[in-house]
Amino acid sequence: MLKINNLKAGIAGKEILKGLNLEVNAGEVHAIMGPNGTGKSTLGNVLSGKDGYDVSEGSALLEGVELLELSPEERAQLGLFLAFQYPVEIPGVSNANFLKASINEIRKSKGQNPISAPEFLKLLREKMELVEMQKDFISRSVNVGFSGGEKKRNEILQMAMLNPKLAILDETDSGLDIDALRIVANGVNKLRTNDNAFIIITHYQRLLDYIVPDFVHVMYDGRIVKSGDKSLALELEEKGYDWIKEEVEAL
Amino acid sequence: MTTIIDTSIYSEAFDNVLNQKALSEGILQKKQKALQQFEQLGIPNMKNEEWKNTYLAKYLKKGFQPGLVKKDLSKTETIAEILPSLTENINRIVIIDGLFSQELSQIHPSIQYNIFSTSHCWSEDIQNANQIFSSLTDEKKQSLTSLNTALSQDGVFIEVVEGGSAHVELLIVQTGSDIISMPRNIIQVGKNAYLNIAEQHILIEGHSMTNMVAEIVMEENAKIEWVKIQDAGDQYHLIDSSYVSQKENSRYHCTTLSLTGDLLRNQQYIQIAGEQAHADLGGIYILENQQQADNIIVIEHQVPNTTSNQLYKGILDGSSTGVFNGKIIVVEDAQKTDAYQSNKNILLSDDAAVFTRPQLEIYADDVKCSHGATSSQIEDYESFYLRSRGIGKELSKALLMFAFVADVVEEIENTTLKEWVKSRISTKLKIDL
Ligand SMILES: Nc1ncnc2c1ncn2[C@@H]1O[C@H](COP(=O)(O)OP(=O)(O)OP(=O)(O)O)[C@@H](O)[C@H]1O
Ligand SMILES: [Mg+2]
Repeated sequence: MLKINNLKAGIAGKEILKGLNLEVNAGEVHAIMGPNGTGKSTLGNVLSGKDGYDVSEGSALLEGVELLELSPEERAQLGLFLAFQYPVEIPGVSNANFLKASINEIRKSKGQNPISAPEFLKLLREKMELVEMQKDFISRSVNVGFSGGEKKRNEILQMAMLNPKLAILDETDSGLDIDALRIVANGVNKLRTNDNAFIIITHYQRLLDYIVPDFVHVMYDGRIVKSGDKSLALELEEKGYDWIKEEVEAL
Repeated sequence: MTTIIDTSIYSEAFDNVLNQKALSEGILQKKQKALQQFEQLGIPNMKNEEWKNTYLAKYLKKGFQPGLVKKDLSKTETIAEILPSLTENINRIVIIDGLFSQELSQIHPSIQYNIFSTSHCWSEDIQNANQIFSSLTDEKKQSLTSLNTALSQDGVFIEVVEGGSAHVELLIVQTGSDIISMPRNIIQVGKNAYLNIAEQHILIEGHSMTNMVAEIVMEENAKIEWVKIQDAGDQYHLIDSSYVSQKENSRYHCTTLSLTGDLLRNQQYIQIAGEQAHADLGGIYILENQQQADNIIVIEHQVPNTTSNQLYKGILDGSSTGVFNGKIIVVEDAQKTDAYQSNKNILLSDDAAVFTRPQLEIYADDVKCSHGATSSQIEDYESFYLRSRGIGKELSKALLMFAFVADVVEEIENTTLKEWVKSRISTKLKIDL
């Protein structure tokens, strides 16, 4: 599904990703952990096409298509989704209209007709239930006045509506209470199929109790320096990152 | 930059206009006085503070002249076809080239309000209308308003009686003649009465200039919601001046949406003369090409415990120009005044320009006045959020522009008016959801 090869990228003259390799297959869930400032969000941003990054080397193929040459919307239209660490507020544009715009732009890119109103409403109702979101959120402006946890849940709603092939969740669990965490995890679990994949960036092993990853990676200084199964997350929880840093520096 | 414009053509026009109709002595005197005032003041030039960024002579030179407008019924049918479809239960007032159109207006009889043409008020001596006429404008000494007072032939008088309510659609139609039309409107909203007005301008062909003036008197606890949509194309020129006097507990809310026009100049002079009264002025201008939109606001807090709110937002592309002059005056005894003013702009092009001038004249010590102005761009990180959801660059930009002006729209209480404004903005921004 996703193949990242020797990716080097930076911002404002500072190299942040320093030759990153990662392969994600359909049906898999990968967790990425790592100390603050090691480039996890940068990876999500560079893959999604955010402006301002200089990619100096490497490639990132989504089902064989080079992502790094595409606009952000083209990447989304191909089936990439990024759940933001800090979702943006859009006053005056209702959640429903935003989702409809998004779905229709994606359909348009595939030469499909706009979604019909009943079809859209049915889908929306179904997905709102999935993330246990109250009805009035449909008509409220996107993220305006949403609590931190509601914003994150809204990201999952968007993901559910767009049904991406590959979703990257950037600290979607941060700031969630126990119930919201369960709802978000539940949402992801229900959306998991053999045809899609997830990359979950998190600082907490707790989330991985709910969403059981196939692989856990540790990112340090712009690279993935260690990979393992879910037991690696438990080990990190217990021992912190110092031993990883030592290992890396010993090389 | 300044051009001297010969004012003798205005005096000549005046003689023609006066010869037309029998006017009562009182009206005649007011008009004569206004002509004198106009002759003294002259056409405003850029040395005048309020016109510093607006080169009026440039527009007048396109050939607009004052003159006697004659009713041309041959055009009625063509115009009827162009007008938006009728909404039930709403009074339609159509003004063509400054003259009230009996043929195209549609007024539902009611004991709650009276709607007459201004010329009817003048010839039939309708007292309350004629008392208001020129009573709010006189001392402001605005030369174009004086010109309107002198040369106006017609317009509409709306009186909402005590406790009554009225819904009005006001269509200002210009056929495209070279004569500057001068509609004169008089509005009186009685105690506990409510008026809402949906105003829009329509240009049939060619180019045109309208110099419109309204005098608005609000009694105790009266409420007005007024939406003005200016979208008559780039051959349209408008100077729209409103003079408002507010009594106790009255609420005046006017929202102006400037979308197309060579020059769209909005002037609002508000006197808050009763305690607990509130004035709300909102404006959105979305401009491109050479378009210019001005918003000139003077709010005078004359008594204690009053509030006002000005919220203006502009999006400027091409080599368009926006002017915002917002003046708040708080007289010596007007303690506990709470006045807020904000003008925010997004500049989409290097050639677009915005001139913002907040002015505070505060003579009382226990007041809250705040003002702010910003000029910004659409932020990349915001745009990235939308694009990462598959929404193309153009639509992302449009949605963010919509979001930028949304708070002005949200202030409109009446849902019909609010939806109308929303849909016009969506159309303008090519948002089709
Ligand atoms: N616009 C920028 N200009 C300069 N440095 C930047 C910029 N954006 C990010 N960085 C730096 O890049 C590094 C990686 O940031 P990134 O946000 O990817 O970290 P992260 O691993 O997601 O951290 P966290 O766990 O705290 O979310 C940090 O040192 C950060 O300060
Ligand atoms: Mg991060």
